[in-house]
Amino acid sequence: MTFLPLVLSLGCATALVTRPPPPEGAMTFTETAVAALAGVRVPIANAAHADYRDVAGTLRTGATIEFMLPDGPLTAGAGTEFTVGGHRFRVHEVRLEQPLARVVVLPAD
Amino acid sequence: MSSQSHLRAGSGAQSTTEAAVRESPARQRRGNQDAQARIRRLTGGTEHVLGETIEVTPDLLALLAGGDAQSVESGVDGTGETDMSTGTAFVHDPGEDKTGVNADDVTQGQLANCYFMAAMKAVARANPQAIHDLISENDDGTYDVTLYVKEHVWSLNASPKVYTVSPTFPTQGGRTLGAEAGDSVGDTREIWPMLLEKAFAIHCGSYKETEYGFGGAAMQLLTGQDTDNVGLLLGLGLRAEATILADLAGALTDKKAVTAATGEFDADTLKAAKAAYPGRLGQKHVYAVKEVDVEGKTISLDNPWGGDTDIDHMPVADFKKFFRQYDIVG
Repeated sequence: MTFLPLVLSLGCATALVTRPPPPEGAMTFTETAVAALAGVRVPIANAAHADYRDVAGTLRTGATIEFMLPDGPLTAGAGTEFTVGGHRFRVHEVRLEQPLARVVVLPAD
Repeated sequence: MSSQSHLRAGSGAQSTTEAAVRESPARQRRGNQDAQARIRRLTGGTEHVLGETIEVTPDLLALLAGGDAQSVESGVDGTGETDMSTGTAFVHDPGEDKTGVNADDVTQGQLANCYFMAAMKAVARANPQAIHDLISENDDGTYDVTLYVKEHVWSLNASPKVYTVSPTFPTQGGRTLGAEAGDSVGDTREIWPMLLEKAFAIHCGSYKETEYGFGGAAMQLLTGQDTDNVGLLLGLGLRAEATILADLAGALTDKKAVTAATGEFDADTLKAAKAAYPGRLGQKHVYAVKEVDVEGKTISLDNPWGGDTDIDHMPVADFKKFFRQYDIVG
């Protein structure tokens, strides 16, 4: 029991150190910034732990972020796909970091 | 400032540039491109005399040393860079005052530095001349940009510090990494927000280091004046609506710059924000306050995201619900 905090800390540290690098072509954006996706400006905001739909339309719960797309806001999480500027993009990961969350987006064309 | 004084002032940059050039072929290429661009500016566009390829030599480095005296390298944070040497600091558009400075010139880019963008908007709205006075163009095409910096945490006053910046800016995904250009006349783009942001990036150490901060601190950097920070204690409703309206209206009437920051929303607040202000209201985001209607009890907010994202006539009750703090300077 005494060692539990130490074990947990080491586990978390190992997980952070061994996080795999983002895939080729990945773009990382920070919450409250305005991403350029296919040349279109897309504000990114409101990271949370919430419900969202993946590419298959399945309702999932997890880390989410909102893309302010030209045709309206989209709450997205890992696996969500969307089209902007005539190109398809896939959300690879949403990281609920402090002070601001980050989202990794991949081209899905 | 003359080119000669630039060379003296920037002599400290030589070793930094040399080290960067030695580090990698990519950086060397970028150094060469930068050198070519600067030579074009220094020689009035006679690059054909110099040929297509320019080797970066110690003499050349000495010649160029003044360009970004304390600079992060252009492009170091992005995937490419854009040369705005055909731009100009200020473009006077119809409807703007004589300085050409307007809050609408500011549009946030791909960095989470909304607080700095909101501060530029707020100061531009309150005192365009103050923004205009921060920037002067040099003979060699670079700009001297003044920010008011507190040298130490314990410093009582901020003192002016001049950063010399070149009009080249990093890009990512085909757009500028940071702030977008403002107005344009023909091919001439207005770049004062980009110049201020670049000077701030130099001050911070890199563009990425400008992410996350507070509107009050940014307004102090731009004006040298102390900021009144007013906390709203999100959700607890400790500051009366009438007081908020009086504070903000009084500040705008007195030509003071005002920013307002949202807090981190809980699940219910986030749901309410998305429903009431879809695509416009973000948590942990900073806006410039542009108008207050005391009679109608509403506040209008200028969103650094640009486009159609401003929030007009937000009821003060909503302001209390979603916003954590406002900052006043001037």
